Amino acid sequence: MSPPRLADRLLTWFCAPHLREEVLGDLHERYTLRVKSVGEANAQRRYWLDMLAYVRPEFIRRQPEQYPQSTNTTMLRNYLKIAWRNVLRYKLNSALTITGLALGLACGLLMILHVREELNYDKGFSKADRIYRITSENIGEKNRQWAATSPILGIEMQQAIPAIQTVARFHRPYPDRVFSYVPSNGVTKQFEEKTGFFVDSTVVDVFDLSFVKGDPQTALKQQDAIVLTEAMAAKYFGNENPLGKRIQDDLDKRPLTVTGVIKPYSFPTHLQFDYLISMSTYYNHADKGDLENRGWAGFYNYILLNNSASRSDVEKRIPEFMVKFYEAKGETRKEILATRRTPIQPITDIHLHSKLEKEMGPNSDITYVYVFSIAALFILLLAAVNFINMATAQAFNRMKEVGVRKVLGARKGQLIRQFLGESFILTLLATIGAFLLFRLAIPLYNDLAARTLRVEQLFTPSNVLLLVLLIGLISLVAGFYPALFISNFTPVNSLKGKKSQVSSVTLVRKGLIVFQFSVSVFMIFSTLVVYRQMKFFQTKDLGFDQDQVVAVKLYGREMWEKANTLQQEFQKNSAITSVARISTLPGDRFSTDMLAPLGKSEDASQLRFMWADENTLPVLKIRMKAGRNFVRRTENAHFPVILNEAAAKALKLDSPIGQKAVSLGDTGEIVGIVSDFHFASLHNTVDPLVIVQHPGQANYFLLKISGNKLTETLQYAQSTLARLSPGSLFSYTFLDEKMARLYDSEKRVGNVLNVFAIFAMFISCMGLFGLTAYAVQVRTKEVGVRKVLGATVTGIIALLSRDFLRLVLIATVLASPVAWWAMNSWLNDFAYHIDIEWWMVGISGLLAVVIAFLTVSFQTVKAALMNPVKSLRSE
Amino acid sequence: MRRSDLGEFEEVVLLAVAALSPGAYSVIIAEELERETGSSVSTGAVHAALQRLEQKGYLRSELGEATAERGGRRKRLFTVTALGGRVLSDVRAVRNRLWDRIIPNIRLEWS
Repeated sequence: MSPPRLADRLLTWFCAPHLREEVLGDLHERYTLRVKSVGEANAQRRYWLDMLAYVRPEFIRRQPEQYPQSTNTTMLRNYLKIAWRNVLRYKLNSALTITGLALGLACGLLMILHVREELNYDKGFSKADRIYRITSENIGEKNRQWAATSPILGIEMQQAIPAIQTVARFHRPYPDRVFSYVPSNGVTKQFEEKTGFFVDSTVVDVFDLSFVKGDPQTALKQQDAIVLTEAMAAKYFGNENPLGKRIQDDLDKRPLTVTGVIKPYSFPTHLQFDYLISMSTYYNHADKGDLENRGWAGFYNYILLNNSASRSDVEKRIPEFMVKFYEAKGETRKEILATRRTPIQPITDIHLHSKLEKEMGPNSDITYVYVFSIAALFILLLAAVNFINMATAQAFNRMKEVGVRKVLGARKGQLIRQFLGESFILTLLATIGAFLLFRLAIPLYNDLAARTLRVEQLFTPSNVLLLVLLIGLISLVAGFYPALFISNFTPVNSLKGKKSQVSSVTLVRKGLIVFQFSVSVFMIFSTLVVYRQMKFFQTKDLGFDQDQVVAVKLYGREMWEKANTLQQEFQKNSAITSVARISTLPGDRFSTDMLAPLGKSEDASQLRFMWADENTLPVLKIRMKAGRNFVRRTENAHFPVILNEAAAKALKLDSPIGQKAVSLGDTGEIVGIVSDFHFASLHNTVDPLVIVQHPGQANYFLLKISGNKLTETLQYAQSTLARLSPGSLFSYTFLDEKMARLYDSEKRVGNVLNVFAIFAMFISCMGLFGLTAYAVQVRTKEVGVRKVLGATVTGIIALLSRDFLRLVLIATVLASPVAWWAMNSWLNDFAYHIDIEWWMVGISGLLAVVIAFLTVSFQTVKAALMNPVKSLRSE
Repeated sequence: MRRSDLGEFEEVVLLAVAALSPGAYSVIIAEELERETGSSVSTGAVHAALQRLEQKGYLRSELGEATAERGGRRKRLFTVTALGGRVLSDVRAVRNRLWDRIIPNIRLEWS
């Protein structure tokens, strides 16, 4: 019976409010008339037509407001003026709000940069989505996945799988190269270069090398050709034109011709190099057996897929290819499928998601990206919360103003706009502050977190957009609640000056404080745990002595040949108690190989290898568990071998001493067992290790130095070296520093967390400070009366502090379990770690409470000491 | 014709208001016009014309009582102002004079 509801709703929507009543009335009345005359169906149809007849400007146009807002800017200017006056009038409050927000925003800015850089690793390559790295995985009792693979793996894979367009290989020279250049004026320039590769010429195209000088087409095709980065070219050649110049590879005594100079990458990438040598150079001199070795993890094989190919195109053909590849090595199909896998990884995954054996360099971890983002987000939130808290507290100071405005006809919308505008102004001021802080902080942060962020990086379009959004969001979030709350004052109450605490507001504010301090307690706790764990790393007994041990590197053939003489010469110095030789320093990556007990090849196991001499174990004070140390070598058919406990277990040997073991065709006799010692980082348990007596493989001298004449001793070593092997480089490392560097990334996280914890605490305290100031002000009279009636100063301080401290306690209780859980899962990443104990939670909470109490007491003590005459006479 | 701003529809509506007053409002005007002319007239069109006439000062309006068929909504009642009345009689006078000048035998030829 009733007219169509949808038509009514449409009409209500478009028709001007002041006409709605009569228009709808007319329509309905006519509808009733029509139902009687033409029937309901017809009436309904006509109703629609009639409704549409109202779609004309006369009915749509809204009535002008009765009291039109002036189009001039008088009111706006008034808002601005009032806002500015308020900033100035409540200096402390404004300063606290703005500083807090600026700090928060600056942290946010830093984090945006940091996280974006982490996420953008290797995404700058023009073919980034088509480049993959081939890895190889051994499935066994100890799963190992390798970033480096056989020299021919990529090439054969390309032949077998048509989806692969190009293969680009990298091979890191071993040991690190030393180059020298003799300029026309005669002073030789010689440097050790740690980052460089032998590369295929396809690298130019696949990895977008951009040449400043030289021909990209041919630069890496010729033999003995080297391409340098601009920085390295400048180091050797200064202002000379490097093209066509020759530099000498001092280790192999081989001249190389500079065929190109390239720009460094403008984006972050895991490919770090200063020079590239053509692959044909390596092939010309390398051992043929190595180059055909299907098991040697010596090359980084990158593949570029066809434009149309996808990852799965390659992956589904890999098993079949793998069988073919390893069958040539003499393995059976079943064996291959059971023990080997050859996954490919997208190049963009390497930085954050790859932790394999023999990575090109240390990679980051996606967890840290999360940690940093969350920390920054928290700081930002804290700052915004501060803002809300301060603004709501501040609101009571402005009750009268709001009352007067309302009496004079301000509408709610206008008031909301006014206060939102004010919060926007404060945010803007804070943003300016944040930029200044950001500029100042960038170098510090780079130092702290080992980054190379630049200020300009912030100003990409997407970053700027993000920033604008962030600022808008913050001023909206931070300003909206106070604005809504203030505009809700009833004029009568606000003009009477009733500072009644509205319970919902108090609750919200208390909630916010609890949130702030929960975050703070969390941060303090994590900092404490990270600190304890780092301390644990430093003090844990590693099973060998790293103090006062200096490693001096052996460079090139010449030094190897003279190693014995050098060793004797070093020992002549009285400060040097002992000299040993070692292939790899603890803390560096030990190479791995297969070792099997003689005649029991089924017990073969992949072990770490270290080559040493008879002095190595005593110098490092590694404890013998059984058997004996090496003795000075006389000609002997068998290599003497010492295992660590883990290796003895891996080889399943019950009485290892005296047994023979085979590796790569060489047979050795096991003469001793040493206790497990931590030659790698404490992230993992101790790997099985084989120590072979073979000083010829050594790359370092280990000098054990007694007393505190370090500098003199080092000088002696240097001059001895210069005398016996002129022209060789001298470089040394302290073993304990080397070991400490294993935890650099954790240390950096610790540092950053530390700073963030301080900021979080600081911002929270600023909020608390502002709030106490307000609470104390509201209760001035009450305090006066209490004093007159005989309250003590301590009593009053307790009275005023109690509420706030209770909140901090609640925060501690809330934050502890979360912090406990989070830090526990972080610690579980380490094979060796501390246990979280109750006192750590206790200390974090206590620290928060003490700091909160100090903050609060600034205000409460002042209030308690105030002369009641003053407080009671006010008004 | 002094009042040239009076459209044909407006004139009819104005006349209808005069004829139906007191108690002229859009629904009955529309119904009346529909009955008189035989073609459908929407309240929207009438209402718009009434608004224009009111703006020109020929009509004045007030809110009347609410009835059940209107869903309890009030109606807007229109009455002709003195100005409106004069305009109507002016228009009528012009028409009459013109009618009077038509020669009778020509008038016979139409019908």
